[in-house]
Amino acid sequence: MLVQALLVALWAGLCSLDDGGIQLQIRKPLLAGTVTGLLLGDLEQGLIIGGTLELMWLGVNSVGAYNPPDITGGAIIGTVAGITSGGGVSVGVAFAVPAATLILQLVVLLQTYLSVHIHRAEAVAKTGDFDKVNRWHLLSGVFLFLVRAVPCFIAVFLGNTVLQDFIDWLPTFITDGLTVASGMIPAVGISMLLTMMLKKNMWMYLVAGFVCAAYLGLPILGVSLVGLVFAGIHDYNFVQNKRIEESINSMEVEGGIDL
Amino acid sequence: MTTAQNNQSVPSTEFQMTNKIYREMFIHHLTYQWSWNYERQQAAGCLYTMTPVLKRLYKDAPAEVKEKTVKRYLEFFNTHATLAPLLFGLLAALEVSTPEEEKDSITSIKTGLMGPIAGLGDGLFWFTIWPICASIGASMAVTGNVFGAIFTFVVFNIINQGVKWFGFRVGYTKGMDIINSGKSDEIIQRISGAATVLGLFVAGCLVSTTVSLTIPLEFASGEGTIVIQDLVDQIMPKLLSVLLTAFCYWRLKKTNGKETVLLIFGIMIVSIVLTYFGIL
Repeated sequence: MLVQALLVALWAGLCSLDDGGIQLQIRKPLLAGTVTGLLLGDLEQGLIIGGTLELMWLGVNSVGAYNPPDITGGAIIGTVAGITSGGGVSVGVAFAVPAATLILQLVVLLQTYLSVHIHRAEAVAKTGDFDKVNRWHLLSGVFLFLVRAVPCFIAVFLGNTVLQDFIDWLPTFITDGLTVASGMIPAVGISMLLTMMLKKNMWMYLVAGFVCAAYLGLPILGVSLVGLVFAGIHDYNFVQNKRIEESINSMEVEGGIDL
Repeated sequence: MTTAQNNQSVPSTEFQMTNKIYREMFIHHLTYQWSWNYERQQAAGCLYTMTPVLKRLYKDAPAEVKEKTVKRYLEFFNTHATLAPLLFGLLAALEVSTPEEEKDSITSIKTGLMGPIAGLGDGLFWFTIWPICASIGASMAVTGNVFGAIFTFVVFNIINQGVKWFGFRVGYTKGMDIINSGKSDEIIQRISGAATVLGLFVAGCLVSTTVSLTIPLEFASGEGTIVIQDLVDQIMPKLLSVLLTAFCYWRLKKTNGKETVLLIFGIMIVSIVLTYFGIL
């Protein structure tokens, strides 16, 4: 069990680093779950549980500064629970959802703490040594590795009875409430994007995008194509205005010469 | 005439872009969000990805100049990780061709483009390409077919890693073209304007599709029941999502993004409390 627990923890850590940069998407439930199944000697169950969770969480994505429920940790712990309990996909899903919510809290705590590293990095900036500054960035990777490796190690090592006890002990309104919250929190991420994008006289494009999706039911690719049309028109107008401005300026210069 | 102007503005250090530098940037970018934090977000990753260029460019610069450079890249930064290399390529081109006293303009281009690129990338990669690749692979995987997992892994990564790999090159060479055209201000304004329009469309769509908030409350009235959510929907679809987003936007705008963590924890606590009373 110890060897398996260490292997799963190592895998969880790698998925965590993938989430932070490599972006092979081994962190997504489909691949995270499949390899976890392989490590536990049951590839087929890994595929089934991972695939099910992938379809379930397909729309769960980070937007701007918003962190969704941790689908990586959720998928790994769910797969472990489904395989070791022998309960398969239904047990897997039942464990994955609360596990994802709980690991998200750890990730949020870590990402709040990591701003300390930026301040340290800024403090060594006066040496003018790029390597010394970057060390704080790379050190953060160790923390990121551990934030998912440790809970996954505990989950495998202590087994699913402990997890089950913990989840049973949690009042349902807390897990339900956190699920409700995970539907609302994307608003924070989108708002963060908007604070960077929303300039004067640009709000109508936001409204138009919303109308396309909410009233007309267009999927995101359709909305993007409509957006592309308006981007083209916006650009055309911008160039035209620029030309008019330029010709007015040159006329003023000519007028000045005439006088 | 423009060439002469550009030659003048090149910093004293001899800098030549090579495949080796592109490769190093790609490898550094593999750690891009390791230090992601709520305060500066991708700032340190941004500096680390740019380091292969900056280190060579500022090889002989005094420590104060290097410090200024480091701090320029440690400012708040957040964009889409896969499309970021395009921007880094452009930034590298700007670093090489901007004289030291005008380097502040790089910061404004950096912060001006990160938002639209983030909106575009989220829409393109996380809400279009990934769902297509993953739904095909996952529907094979649930039948126990290992090819499903392999399919998703291979197809998505050809696109995803490919866009990153070539992003640096395209960003740098196109960036150099823009700078050498002598109209860089106008072209960057045009790119930023068009990208903002597209980004806002995607953001408007995301408000409707990713923010979910419903009220399950029902009241008995005479024969039937009044379902609160139905009343809300009659006013406007996704009204609650719009109001919630507007509230978050107002707080973040007012506090310059300092309330991000507070908002997230606040929403969690309010959700738990309201769920307890059966309101949400």
